[in-house]
Amino acid sequence: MIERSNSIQRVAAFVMVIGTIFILAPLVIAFLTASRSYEEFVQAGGIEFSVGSHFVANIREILFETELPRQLINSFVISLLVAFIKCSFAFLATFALVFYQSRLNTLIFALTIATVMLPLELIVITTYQVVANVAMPLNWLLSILGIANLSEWIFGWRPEFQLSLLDTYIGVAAPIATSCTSVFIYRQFFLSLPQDLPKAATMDGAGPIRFMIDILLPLSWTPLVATFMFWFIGGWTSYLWPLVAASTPDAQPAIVGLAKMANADDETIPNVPLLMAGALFVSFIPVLLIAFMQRQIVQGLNLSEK
Amino acid sequence: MKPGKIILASIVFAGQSSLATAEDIEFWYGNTGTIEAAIQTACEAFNESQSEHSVTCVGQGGYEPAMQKAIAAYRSQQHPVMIQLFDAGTLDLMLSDAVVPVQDIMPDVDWNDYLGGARSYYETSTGAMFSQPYNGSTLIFYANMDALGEVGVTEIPDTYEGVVEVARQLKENGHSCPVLQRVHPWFSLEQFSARHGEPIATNGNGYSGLDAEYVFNEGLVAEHLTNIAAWREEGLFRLPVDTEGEKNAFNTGECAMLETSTGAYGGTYAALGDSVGVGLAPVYEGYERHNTLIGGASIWVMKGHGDAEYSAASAFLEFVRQDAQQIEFTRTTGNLPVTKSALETLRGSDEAGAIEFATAELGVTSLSQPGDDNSRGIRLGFYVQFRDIFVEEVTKAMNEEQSVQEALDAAAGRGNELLRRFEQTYAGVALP
Amino acid sequence: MQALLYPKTYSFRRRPENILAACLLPRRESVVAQNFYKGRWSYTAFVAPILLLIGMFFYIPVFLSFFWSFFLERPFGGGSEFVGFQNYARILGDPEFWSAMRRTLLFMVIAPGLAIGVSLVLALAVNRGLRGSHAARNIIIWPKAVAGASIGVVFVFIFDPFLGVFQSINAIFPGLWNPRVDGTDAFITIVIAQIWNGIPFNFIILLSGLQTIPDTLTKAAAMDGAGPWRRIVDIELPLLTPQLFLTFVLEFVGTIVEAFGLIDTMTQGGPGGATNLLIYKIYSDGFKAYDLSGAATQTAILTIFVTVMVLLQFRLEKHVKYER
Repeated sequence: MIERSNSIQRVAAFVMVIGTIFILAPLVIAFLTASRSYEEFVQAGGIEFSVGSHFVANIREILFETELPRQLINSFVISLLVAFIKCSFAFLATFALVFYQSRLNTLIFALTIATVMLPLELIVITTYQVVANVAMPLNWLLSILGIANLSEWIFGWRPEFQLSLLDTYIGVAAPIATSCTSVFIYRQFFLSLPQDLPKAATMDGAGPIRFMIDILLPLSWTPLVATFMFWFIGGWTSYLWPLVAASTPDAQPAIVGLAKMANADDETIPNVPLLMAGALFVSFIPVLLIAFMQRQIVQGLNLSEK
Repeated sequence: MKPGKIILASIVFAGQSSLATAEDIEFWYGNTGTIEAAIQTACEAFNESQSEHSVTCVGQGGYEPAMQKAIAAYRSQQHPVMIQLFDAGTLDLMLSDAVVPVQDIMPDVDWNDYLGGARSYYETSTGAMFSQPYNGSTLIFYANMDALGEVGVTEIPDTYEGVVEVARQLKENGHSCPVLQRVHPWFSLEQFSARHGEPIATNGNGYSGLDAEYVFNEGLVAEHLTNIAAWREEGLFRLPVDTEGEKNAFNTGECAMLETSTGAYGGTYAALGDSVGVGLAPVYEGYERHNTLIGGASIWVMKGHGDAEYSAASAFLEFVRQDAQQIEFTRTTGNLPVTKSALETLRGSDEAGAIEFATAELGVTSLSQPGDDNSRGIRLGFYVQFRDIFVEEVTKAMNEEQSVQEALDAAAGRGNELLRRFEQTYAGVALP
Repeated sequence: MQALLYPKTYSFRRRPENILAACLLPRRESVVAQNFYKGRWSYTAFVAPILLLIGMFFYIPVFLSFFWSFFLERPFGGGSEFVGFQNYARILGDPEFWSAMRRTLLFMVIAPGLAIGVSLVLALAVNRGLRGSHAARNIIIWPKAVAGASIGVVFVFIFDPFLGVFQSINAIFPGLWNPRVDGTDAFITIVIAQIWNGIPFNFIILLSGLQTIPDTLTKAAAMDGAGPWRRIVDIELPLLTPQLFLTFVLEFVGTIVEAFGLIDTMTQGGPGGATNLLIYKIYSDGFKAYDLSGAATQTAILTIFVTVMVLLQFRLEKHVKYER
């Protein structure tokens, strides 16, 4: 800083402390409550600001007597799928958009970028119908082209295909992965590379695919890793779509499982300590990721400056 | 073109795989918790009892998700053979053209063996059963006899006047929550109207035509809810939101009396032990007591399957209808037996007096009171949505944002819009 | 369309997670695509996966919701009647739709306004490089990794009138705080939870904006005798205008959908519909009430609304000065 100004430094320190407390408070309260036994909690009748001794016991109960561990694996697989689809599909497409000459470039770029405008949550009603039968467009096509009628006329069989992806990993992950922000990020990155890279590669005898794998991919590692982690967290924290697309407990991700646990219609006072332990349990992986990988994520996305 | 062919082949394969295993059928249910465990037990018992058929029972995590999944599955022709659905969705399924009446598939079953209250909720206007009642419950009255004993009351009151009198004594004695009252329409509208013989809607609550209109906003229901609001003001009644234990405030001992489902007895007994007393839900003085309605759910058979699947479904429905199965289900869940023969068997067994069956007899008594056109059941379209509307409007009244009468008028008005849209959606479809 | 293709505009990246990257990007005035390779088949192979994906799970659903909005669908299929604009007339004539819309707009103004205000103050404080500011910066971003639905479970307990932090206040003034029955209280809890969840994103954007302000500028101002408070008002805030605009744009539309997890775990739209925002109404109409036509129509209306908002943002953005 340029000069020491006590008043502003003191205010800044105060603001920083208050802000950090505001952010940490729910997590700390969740932890303190999760450290009590159900009986202690019922007896105390609410929040107590001291550490109890039952945290491990509650986590053990989460681990061995609820569906959350299994659902944590679901979360993990779904988030990996989301991140993988988002990164790989966008990488391939952006490679083509930037390094290929085609009249379709503008149109395809616009089509992908438009997906960023409308969040999946908004179109969840009809997305559900599509995922419930992904062969639906094929059926339409056959019917519009007259093939369906033709087949009915010739073979006496009308083609109607069905394939439901509800309650499957890919069915939950694919719609989340439609938002094509990655295309935009990678495009920025590719455009910032030296202009004559592909030319040089060609002189070395490398075709476009070799160029992509051997040159572009290693160069893009930093933004790829950063976006991958970011979309992983995004997939982990998504809620509305997994809630409707995965209705059986076996297929639900942990966030949905926790919400179901909280809304369960029990005959007794809800086991709040267990719920708080559950809330921490379903959050620890992405929070650790963002706490320890923050530099990589933020700087990886921050492609040129600094 | 190769990838295309592979996708096509896999889709065809996926489509046919469900046909390949004809006698292995699916049954979808909505319950979670103890009822889910009981359903799974029944499924396993069925699959072990014979080798011809096998039923896979799939929990969908709630009645509403189960219905939603069934809708999507039916639209893409991947629906299960059987689905369990709750009382409020009855008309939605009846008119869906997606189900086959169980009586058509199994004409030889003695359907008259089902208890009157269970029959009337799920039968057509001509008296044919559309679905098979499965987990049944009804509304009864619970009292904490220890709390009542403190003010010298030993008899559970069976009129609202009596309840209020006891509540006043409790309040004077310093009790903070004499009566816990829920505003959800199952408690405060459906079961209330039925046992007072009051209409919720015209046409006998929709039984004789889709052009029914809500009328509960005029008459006893309005009076009752206005009373509840006044009693709440006076400190006699508490809504779950006013209490620490919310819906469980009776189990925690915070509240002394409560109207709730027979199925709640297990949890209540576990919490309060012998101090729990149960009786018929109260009625206002001067009203003849009618039957209460059966809550819970029934099993529906869906259209579009082959004879092999239907015979498997029949075998399963036959199995869960057996007296022993029903009694076992009652034991583990606190739900009621739904046939007369199961009830008789239970009465004749040495276990009849066991705690698990404490509410069975009372619940059946409540279901078997004399009925009239207004206590047959609810046959109103989009009723699930109406329930939410009712809760929303009444909650606003309880928060004094509007009067009770305004709330009921608004709920009836919005409900009527739903009914008209339902009527239009199913224009030209006759009520079965 | 022109605006869509130029990376220097930021408006179309609305969702917070999308934005993080975008806002930190360099603003390139002229970029030339390299367009080096030719070859139709390999080109097709590269773009096909993403086009299939978004075609299947984005464009078809969008099309389908507009399509259904003109039909009265039976839930189980089997009879769908073309009704023209009747669904629109029904929805637009329904006071419930408008009160959900009003609540949504109110929420869209209050929650982002507060979240951005808090983030700005935090960013200004952290940017002063005090001891511990690295740790603070790290922690303030944590909520980004916590799902709304899971922190909702925690907040509903914290704000519980009988068990939570306000129980002692309630003990003195009974009924003063009860989000279970009082709509305003419930709305406030959702807003607070949304602020908590919304801080990290705005904080990152604003902090990175502050860090790009050259030291020379502030030094020069200091030499001219401007005190630190003065410099915030005269230099830092004006130079932060693009980031502030960006956060408003993003938050404004983002909150339409983000509150869902909070509402579903904290209030289920209640009490008395006080927290029934449009996104929750669409969900419950479609998934709990089997009103496919009504839900599709509301989706279509909201889609149009969002599109108009985005276009308005393009226009507004022209008035924001980016150059330094």
